[in-house]
Amino acid sequence: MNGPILACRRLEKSFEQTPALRGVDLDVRQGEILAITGPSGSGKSTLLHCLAGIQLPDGGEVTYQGTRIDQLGQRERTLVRRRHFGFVFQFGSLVPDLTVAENVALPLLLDGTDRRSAFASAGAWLDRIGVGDLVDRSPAELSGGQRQRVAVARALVHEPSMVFADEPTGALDSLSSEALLEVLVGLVDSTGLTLILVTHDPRVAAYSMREMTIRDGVSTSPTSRT
Amino acid sequence: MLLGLVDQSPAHGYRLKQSYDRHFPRGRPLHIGQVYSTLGRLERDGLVRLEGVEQDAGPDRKLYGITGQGHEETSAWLFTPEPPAPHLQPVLYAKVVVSLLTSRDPVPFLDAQRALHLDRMRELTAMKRSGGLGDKLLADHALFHLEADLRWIELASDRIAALAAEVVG
Repeated sequence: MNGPILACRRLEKSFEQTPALRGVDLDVRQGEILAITGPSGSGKSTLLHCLAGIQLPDGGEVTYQGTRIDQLGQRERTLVRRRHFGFVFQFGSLVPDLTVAENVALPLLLDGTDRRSAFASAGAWLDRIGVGDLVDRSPAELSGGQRQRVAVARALVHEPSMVFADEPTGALDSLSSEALLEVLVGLVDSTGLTLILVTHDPRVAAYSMREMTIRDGVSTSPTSRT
Repeated sequence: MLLGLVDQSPAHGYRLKQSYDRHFPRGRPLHIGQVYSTLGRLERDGLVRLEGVEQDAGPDRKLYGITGQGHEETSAWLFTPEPPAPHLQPVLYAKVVVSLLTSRDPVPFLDAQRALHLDRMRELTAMKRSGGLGDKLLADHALFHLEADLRWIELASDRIAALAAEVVG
């Protein structure tokens, strides 16, 4: 693909009277790690949600592989997310009543994959990410770092082309954070997936290839001079 | 820095020292002799020029103003990010204050500085990923220092309006 895998133009989003995004433009290239940075409340998570089709913008366009996902209905957007995107959030968001293997297999089961194949894939991804021995544990028995690794396995089990990670290391200590980033960056290197990393932490942003800063809902180009 | 203060408004040496002491009270002490020798050098280089002589009860005072070349030199200094290195904060602070004093927007400088810092952090992160434990520990130390600068840059960007009110009055 020559053009960007994901792009937005003139993106606008408000909550009540408060603008969260004010005309954001962005191109994301396949296989890159892009960090979206900015202070708390700057609009970076809202941008991620709009890019991933979790929220609809009030104005502007979001295009994924040539398709305007902001114009899709809820069902179609859910399918795009389920098949093409993976998500890692700050606290893992694992389902507490399911085992680790069941959590990781969940996206495949929801998409109609048979149980045997889904659990085989889940086990393979957990092995690959170095937590294969945790398959039968419940999320409550895991450390923060282990939970996030399981969340990464769940985000990748259906082999998406893009992973959206929103403050994935926000709840981790420095070493666990470093280990998780190594896993994510290693996966980008080995699979060619595209990673969008939302973070307020410059040490996390330093793992990216490119950074976009957002402040008060407006993107700023770090090298531009006005 | 002194050139930036002349860029704010023409001044004689004693007034420049007062301005420096007021805006950078915790900076390196500046002696009046240094002010005059620096003004002499700036005049020789065509960056400031003699604009008159102030006469009052005391001795005559030479009034210096910025030249076009001096104004450009100040702009170049203000908008050029500093190479990321330890103990940079006094220079970054000085550039922000001089920008405000001379009615320039310091935010583009802070953004450019942030980008340069992050580039260096990327290099150090790559060194960590490919190096041994020694490299990791050395990179960690540098990364924490750069992170502190970056956090200061973020906060300074958020405080520009308040700082402008305080500096410019």
